[in-house]
Amino acid sequence: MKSLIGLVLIAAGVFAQGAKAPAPKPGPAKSPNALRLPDGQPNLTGYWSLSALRYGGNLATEGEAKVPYTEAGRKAFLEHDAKNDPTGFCQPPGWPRMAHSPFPMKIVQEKNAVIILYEYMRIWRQIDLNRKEHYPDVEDTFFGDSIGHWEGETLVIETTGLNDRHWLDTAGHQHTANMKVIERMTRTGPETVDYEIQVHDPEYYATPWIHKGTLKPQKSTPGLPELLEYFCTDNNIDIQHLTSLKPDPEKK
Amino acid sequence: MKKLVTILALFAFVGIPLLAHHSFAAQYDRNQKFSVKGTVTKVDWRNPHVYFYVDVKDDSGNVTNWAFETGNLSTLMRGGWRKSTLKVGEEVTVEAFRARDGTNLGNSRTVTKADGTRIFEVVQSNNQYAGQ
Repeated sequence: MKSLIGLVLIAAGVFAQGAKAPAPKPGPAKSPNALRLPDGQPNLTGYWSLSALRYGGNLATEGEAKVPYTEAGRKAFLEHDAKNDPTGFCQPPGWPRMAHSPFPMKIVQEKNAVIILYEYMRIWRQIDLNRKEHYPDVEDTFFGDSIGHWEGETLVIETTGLNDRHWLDTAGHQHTANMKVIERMTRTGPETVDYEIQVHDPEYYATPWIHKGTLKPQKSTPGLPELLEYFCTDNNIDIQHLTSLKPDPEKK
Repeated sequence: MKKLVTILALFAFVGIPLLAHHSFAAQYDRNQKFSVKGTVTKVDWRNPHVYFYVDVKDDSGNVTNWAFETGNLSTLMRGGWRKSTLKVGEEVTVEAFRARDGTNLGNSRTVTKADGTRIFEVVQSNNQYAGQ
C-alpha cells in the first residue's frame, strides 16, 4: 500500500509538471550512446508515441498463416467472438495489448525502476530494476509483475503473473495465464527507441510470437496537457450494440 | 480556414482511430453507409467515444432521433476539435455506417454543417478488425 501511495504521488508530480518536463538533450543522430542519464543509464524518459506498434488492432500483420499457433492456440482464436472483447466492456487491455494503443505514453526513469504512464485507460506500469525474482504466490493480474535489467544499451523487461482475462489484440488472438512477455527497449538515437515485444506462451504459440517497432517522440499539442484523461467507463454506450462476430475459418 | 485545411490534411494522413477498445465490425456494417440531415439535439463529449444526437424529419414530418458515434476525446482534441465545435441546435448532414443491430445508430464518417464546414472527419479506412 505504501509503495502504491508513493507511485501515485510520483504520477501526480509528473502530471503536475505537464509540458514543463525538460526535453532530453539530443545527441549525435547516429550514436546509440548519445542519450544517457547522469548515472550512465541509457535514457528512455520522455513522451512517446505508440503508433508504430499499433498493427491496426491485429498482431497477425503477415496473415493468419504466419501466426505460430499450436493447435490449441488456433482453436482459441477461432472460437473467440468479437462481441466478448474484454476491453469492449472497459476491462483493462492488459499486457501486452496496452502497447498497441493509439494513444501516447510517458516513461519516467529512476535508478531502480522504470515507470510507464499510459494515456489509454489511465494505466501505469512499474518495472523494478533492483529485483531479480518475481514476487512468489501473487494472484495473476492484467499487467502481471515486471522486472527489468540492462543488457548493455538495452532494457530487458520480463513480465509474468498475467491472468487470461484479456486478449492480445482487437482481432481476438488469445493467450493463457502461463504467458511470459519479454520486452527489449533500446535507445538508438535522439528520436528513436527500438522496441521489441515477445510473447512466450508455448501452450498457444509453438515459438515466441515477436513484434517489433520503433517508438518516436509524441509531439505536444499546444493548449493541451501531454496526457489526456481516458476513462472508458465514463460513457460506454457501445457495449449494448455489439453483435456476434466470429472469425471466418475460410479466411484463415 | 487555414487551420481547418491543416486539420483535414492531418486526418487525411493519420485518420481518426475508429474504435479504441473493441472491434468496429462487431458494431457497424461497412456495407451500409447512409446519409441524413437534421438538427443536433445533444452532444456527449465523453470517452470512450464522443456521441452526438440528431433529430431527423422524414417527408411526412415524423421526427426520429439518431445517435452518431465519432472519435475519442484524445484524438478529436489533438486534431483541434473542441466541445464548442458542435452545438445543440445546429443543422448538420451526417454520413455514417449503420449499426448492425438495426437501431438508430451510426458511426459518422463526415459531419457537414450548414455553412459547409466539415468536422470529425474520418478519411482512413481500417480492416475488418479495426480498432486498437
